[in-house]
Amino acid sequence: MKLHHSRIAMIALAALGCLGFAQIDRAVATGPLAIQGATIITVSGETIANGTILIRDGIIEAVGTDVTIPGEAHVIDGKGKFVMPGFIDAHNAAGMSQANEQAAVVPFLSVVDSIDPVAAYFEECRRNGITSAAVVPGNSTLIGGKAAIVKTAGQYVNDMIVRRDSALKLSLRPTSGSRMSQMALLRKELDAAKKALETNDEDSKDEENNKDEEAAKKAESEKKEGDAGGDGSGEEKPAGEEPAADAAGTGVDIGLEALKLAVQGKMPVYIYCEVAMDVSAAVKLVEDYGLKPIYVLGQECYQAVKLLAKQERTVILDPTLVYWKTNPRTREDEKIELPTIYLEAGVPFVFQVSESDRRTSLGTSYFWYQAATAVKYGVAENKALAALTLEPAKLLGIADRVGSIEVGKEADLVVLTGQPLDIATWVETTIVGGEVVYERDTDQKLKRLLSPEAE
Amino acid sequence: MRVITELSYFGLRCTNNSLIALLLSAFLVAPSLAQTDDAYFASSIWTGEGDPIRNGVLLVREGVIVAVGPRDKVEIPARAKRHELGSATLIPGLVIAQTNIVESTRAEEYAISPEVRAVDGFDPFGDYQVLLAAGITTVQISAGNNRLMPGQGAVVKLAGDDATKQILSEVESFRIVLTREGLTPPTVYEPPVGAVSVERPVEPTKPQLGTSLAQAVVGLEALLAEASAAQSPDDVRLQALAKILKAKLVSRWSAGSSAEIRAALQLAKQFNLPWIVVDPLEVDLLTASEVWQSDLARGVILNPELRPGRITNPTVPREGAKPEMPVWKRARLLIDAGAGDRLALRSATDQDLNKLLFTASVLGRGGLSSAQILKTITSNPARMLGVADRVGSLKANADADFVVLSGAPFEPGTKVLSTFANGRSVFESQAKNETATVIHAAKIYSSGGVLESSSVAVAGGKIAGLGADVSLPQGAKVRDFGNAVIIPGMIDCSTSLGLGGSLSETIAFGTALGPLLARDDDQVALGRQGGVTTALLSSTRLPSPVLAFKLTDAPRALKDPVALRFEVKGNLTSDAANVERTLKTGKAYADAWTKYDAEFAEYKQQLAKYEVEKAKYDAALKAVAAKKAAEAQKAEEEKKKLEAAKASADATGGEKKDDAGKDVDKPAEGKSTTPPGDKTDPAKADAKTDDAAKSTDTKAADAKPSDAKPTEPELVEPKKPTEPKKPATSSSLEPYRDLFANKIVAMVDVSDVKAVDLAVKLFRKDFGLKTVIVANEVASRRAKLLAENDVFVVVGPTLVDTDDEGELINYAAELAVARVPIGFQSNASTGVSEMPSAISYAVYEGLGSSDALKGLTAGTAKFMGLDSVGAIEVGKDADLVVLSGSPLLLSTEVLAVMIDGEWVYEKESHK
Repeated sequence: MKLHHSRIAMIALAALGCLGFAQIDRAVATGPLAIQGATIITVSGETIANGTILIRDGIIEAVGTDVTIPGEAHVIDGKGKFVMPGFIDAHNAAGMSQANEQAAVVPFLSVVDSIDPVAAYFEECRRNGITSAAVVPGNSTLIGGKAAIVKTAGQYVNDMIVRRDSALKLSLRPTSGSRMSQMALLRKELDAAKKALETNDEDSKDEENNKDEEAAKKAESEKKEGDAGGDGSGEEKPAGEEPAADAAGTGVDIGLEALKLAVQGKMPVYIYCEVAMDVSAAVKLVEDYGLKPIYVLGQECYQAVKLLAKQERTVILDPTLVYWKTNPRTREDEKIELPTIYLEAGVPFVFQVSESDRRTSLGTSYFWYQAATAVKYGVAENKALAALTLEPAKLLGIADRVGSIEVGKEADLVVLTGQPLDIATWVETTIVGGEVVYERDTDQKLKRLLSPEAE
Repeated sequence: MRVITELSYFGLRCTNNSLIALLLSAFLVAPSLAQTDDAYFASSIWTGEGDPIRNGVLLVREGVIVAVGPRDKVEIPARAKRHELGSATLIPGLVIAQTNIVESTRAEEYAISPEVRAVDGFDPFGDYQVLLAAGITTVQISAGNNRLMPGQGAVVKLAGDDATKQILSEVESFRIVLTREGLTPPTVYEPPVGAVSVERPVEPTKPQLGTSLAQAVVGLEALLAEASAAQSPDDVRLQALAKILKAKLVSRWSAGSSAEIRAALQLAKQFNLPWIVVDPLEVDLLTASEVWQSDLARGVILNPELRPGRITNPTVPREGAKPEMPVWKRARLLIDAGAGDRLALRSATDQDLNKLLFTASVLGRGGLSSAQILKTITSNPARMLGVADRVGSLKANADADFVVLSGAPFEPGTKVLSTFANGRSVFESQAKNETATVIHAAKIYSSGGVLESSSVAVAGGKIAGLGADVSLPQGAKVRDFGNAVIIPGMIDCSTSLGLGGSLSETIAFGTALGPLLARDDDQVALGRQGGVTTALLSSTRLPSPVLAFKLTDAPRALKDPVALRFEVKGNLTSDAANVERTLKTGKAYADAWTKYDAEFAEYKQQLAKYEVEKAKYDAALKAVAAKKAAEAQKAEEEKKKLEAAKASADATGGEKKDDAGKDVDKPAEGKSTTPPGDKTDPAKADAKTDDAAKSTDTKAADAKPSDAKPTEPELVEPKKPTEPKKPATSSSLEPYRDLFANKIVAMVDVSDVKAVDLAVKLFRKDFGLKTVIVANEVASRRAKLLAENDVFVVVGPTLVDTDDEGELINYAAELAVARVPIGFQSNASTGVSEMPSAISYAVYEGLGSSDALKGLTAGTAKFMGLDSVGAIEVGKDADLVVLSGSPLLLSTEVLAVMIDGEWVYEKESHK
């Protein structure tokens, strides 16, 4: 099935003339793959010098210094290189065609319908070692719809999906009317969901039981899928999908269903906070409605760092980690170092990169750069690396599958030419689900960029 | 770890100015919250209810008030930290009954939006420093002003450690604006219905009520009735209203006229809602006695209708119109009607909130006492807002939100010194901190000797106290420099600082250099870093006047001029004559003035005497004139008689006839007032005493016929003393007067030994001037001569030299050994900062450090007549230099420099 897809894709791409790095030697990936003699930064455990990783069927089969490589395996020489878990982008709106809606309340939308597998974003992800990404509706829609977690390689959206409807997106940035009326509108929607749940409870306890059973079943099947080592870009059915699917027939409000899952704490909620006062509003919402929040923070939210510390949750920082700000009253400039502030307050954080249209700027558009900045301002290097990999995996609830180099986890790996946070380091190879999806040697675009005369 | 967290939190939110204060307070308060209590002693405490407590104390534990009362009635735990606030007054943190300080960058669209909650627009991380600085700690926030039903208000604190805890009441009231602002809502553009989809459904038009009061009231009534009847309405507005009505939320009515107030009261009654009336202009309905017996009457909020610093043009009232009742009268009437505990005052606008302590005093016109006025901005609003248990008055178990005022509230000149919220200082007045500093150091070189482990208290730019146990001025900032040494600010006897560049033009002695000093001169800022706080400035082209000034940012002339500077150089034969001539000219000028001054003083005395005499004389003259008139009449009669007699018998002596004729002439002249003495020479008269005049008169009288009465001799007109002639004023010679009066000194630059001799002879011996010789090695060779003649010597910048044989000559030391008083000069601009280091070499090579220090401070100050500087002594200028170790060692570093009570330099690590 998988092979089939990729062949079609290859033909299609060739026909379109879209050659280059996308043309991958998939045949290699079908057999076992080994990376030999590299420094392996497992993130979850000790770093292994001169280690070997053996990948079979997209799953890491063995890691260590004394791994026997089967004869049929394709071997990547890792000598002098570093291998890390693939980076995970916990929040971005770049993978979809349009981030925001004009209407303020659109909980029924799903980004899956908008993800473009051949978007430049995904190409950039592979080039920069990002193997999983949460595609989330933008920051300018009050209730923006449902996010999805995808792998960054695949020809069709369904190949890429790790988790559909992984979370709901709320944004507290006012776009029409004041913050007060925005909040009134948001509360109205959440109240409606709460009320609907109460009615549901009274109406049919049986249905609830059924749901539970279904959920249990689903969890089981997921587990099975994982055990079986199904392909990494396989699709999962989220908790919220069943009622939504039903909706088509019964006329149930899909948006309301999503909100209901959110107020039950079954579906995580991204809450974008533009300024510090949004953080206190978000915290209040979480308390009032029992939400399971993922805080996405704007630059100014550091003022609420004490409040965030009390929430004991990993937060997603703004792409601009260090900036200058003028105090409006004293007109004095002060340097704001977000990593320092959050580190000292004891708030765990992961990074975002600036959006694709600003990708021309070096620095904040790269995850390694964000981590290096954090290290500069006092974050321990291993923590910074975890903030690129295992921490976002945990935040997104996919740590059982990705985020570290462990036996049994999906083989989402990135091979680096040197130390991960070194500016001279390149991504040599990116592996998603045991398949090599990027090789620098075949990256024509990069080559053209670096040596135009060669054309 | 907790402390660090707090530090970074505050540090990042605050400005650099308040950073240190906040860091300090975070350090101090964090542990105290855990263990100790804080006791604030103040001369009076206004609790917000009733009369102030004199000599009170406020005891705070963990941000909550434990006790408040008179000093002798409240038991203070031994572990409590005591804060003596002296003459300060404590009042509760102000509570404002209505404001609009919410985030509202975009206006709401609809006239009726009861579902909107102001609390969602409150930014707990906003910058409320301006309001905190005005003593405001709690405010009601409202969701809007210019719509009929803007939404639900909240009560929030403007400061707090925990953002979520700053909200005292999430939903406090719902507001209805019946005044004109509310009845003319912003127009809503309803776009034509376009493509309809699931996400863009066609919505029914939201209720927009009419723009007349009658329409609004009818509409409101219908809406409220619908909301109270509806079971579970779909409309978000009705949902919100139903909730509001169920919870019996306070209704807050903006209503000015009687009609509006009537509508408000009627609707509130109809739906059984507690009410607050805001900004009533007519109070006849609110002053009915039964109104305030109702439980629903929560209170009235008045608007002072006063914007400090703004002038409005009131409209001329129409003829026959009812005059508008002033706010203080309305307040008075409401209190009389029983609303005394339910009356609050708000600010006319949010921009004027920080002036509320001033504007509130307008109620004093209505005869309200200060305590009553304070109630309207503290305990009354707190009660009306339903948060009286926590804020608004200083009582046990309430939040420790209080304001430290410099004096009684509403008095002119009373300032907010600091504001506390939850026991934590959230505002400290800068002015307060600048006025007083207490500096502690291991050694202080005071004029009374070296004090070990002592403090200097500085207030108002002067040294206010000195000693091991110095009393703390009000609100003093304490700086402990640990093992440091404090010496007086030093004096540099010759610099080229102060004018932004060196001065080499010829300057007349009369030129005042003080007004030419440049402000914020970078050279001065650098020059003072070595510890020199007073510098002398003159032109390099001599002679020149010399100015003494302080090295502050705005340099202050200390003495202008402090000296006149001459030079004796080159060809001494001609030079000596020249200098002598100059001095002679000066002396002549000064003498002329001295003489004039003496004469003038004499003249003044004479004049005073003359005026007394003249008054006496005038009085006497009047009496005499009256008498004479009577006599003349008599004489006339006698004359007639005499003539008659003469005519009858014409045989008498010629001499007698003459005299008689004279005698007769006089009365004939009648009013003649000229006494015989007047005819004497004025010069003689001046010398003559009254007695002499009398004796002359007596003689004259003797010569007169015996029948003439001796009244005339008393009528000597006193001589008006002539004013002495002023010598011609010459501005360039003017300073010589002070010079020859020894008020200022003569500084003489000399080139060689002979010049020293000459200078001493001329300036010191011949003219008796206070003389300063500016020289190096040449002076040291005449040390004995200089010592004998009390001549002061300025040395430097080179203090130690090597002679031909390689011997070191320490000029300063030689002079000091000979007991010649010395001072030092750098002749530099920014190099002034290096002078103390230069002197340290002389000290290293044998100059006594106490002699050197004396020359840099007290010795020079005394000789130059700079009375306010040069010593650490109570009453002198607070010019202090903080050193890392003993003075005048190369290993010693300047840590900080204070001039006139202000830190002008601090080493980076000591900031």
